Amino acid sequence: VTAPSGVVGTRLPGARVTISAAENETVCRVLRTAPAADGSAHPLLAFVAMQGAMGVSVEGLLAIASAVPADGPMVGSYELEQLAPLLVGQEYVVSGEIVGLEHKVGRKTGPFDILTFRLEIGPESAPPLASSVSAWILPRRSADDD
Amino acid sequence: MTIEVGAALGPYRFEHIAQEEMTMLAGVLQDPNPIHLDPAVVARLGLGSRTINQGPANMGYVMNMLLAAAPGARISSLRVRFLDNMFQGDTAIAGGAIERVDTSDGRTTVTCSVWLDAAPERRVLAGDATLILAPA
Repeated sequence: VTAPSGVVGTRLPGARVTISAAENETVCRVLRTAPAADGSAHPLLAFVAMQGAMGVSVEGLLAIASAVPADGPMVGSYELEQLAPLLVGQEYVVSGEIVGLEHKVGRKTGPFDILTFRLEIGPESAPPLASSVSAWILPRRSADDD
Repeated sequence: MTIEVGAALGPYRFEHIAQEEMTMLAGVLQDPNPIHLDPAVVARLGLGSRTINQGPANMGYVMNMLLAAAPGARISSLRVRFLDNMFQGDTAIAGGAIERVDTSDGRTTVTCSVWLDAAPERRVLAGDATLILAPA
């Protein structure tokens, strides 16, 4: 399976998102830490909120690159810039774009693609408070697998 | 934490990653990837015999390490490369080192290298982070 052309530059629909107290508590529980007392969300919620409100599901994003969860995609790298903490209960707007799809062949892994996308989150009509760049590794079947 | 170049951060230990935690995070992330949920899929893909911890959780351990090392600080950036898998049942150990300290207009910015190992000695993640310290 090879990725389609025209993927790079695809705008992700984005969505509005509000980090709920329950969601923040679940992430804190998973990370075995207590929610902050000042109403700020755990910094991992920047990742959770951006990915959750990018306007397509994980499956949908993979489908844009002609991949499916059963292929075993993995996160290769992640970059987060955050100007201020996100707040629990505050509504934000997320936007995003696919910025790269690069084909590679690993000696051990065989063929794979690196899908790179950028997301931003912030209050509506205001500069973003946080942005991220994610690179996902998408295993591809070789012709020998068929 | 001593705020000086070369000072060590951590180590921060996260004992025995539980499948229940991975399943909870999969729900929050709306991530159906079976490598986090079904060891049979992991085996079929030739990646091992235990489910694979989510990359975001591995970042979360590093974030916890940074916030524990510098209480009241804010993480202004985090860049990580995922080098290997953390598996269900593994113990994660996060650490780092201060690479640079800048003070300007009464604000102190600390740049750190960061890492995460699966105990005892398998590097899972490496990168760098920037902290803005709480005012003294």
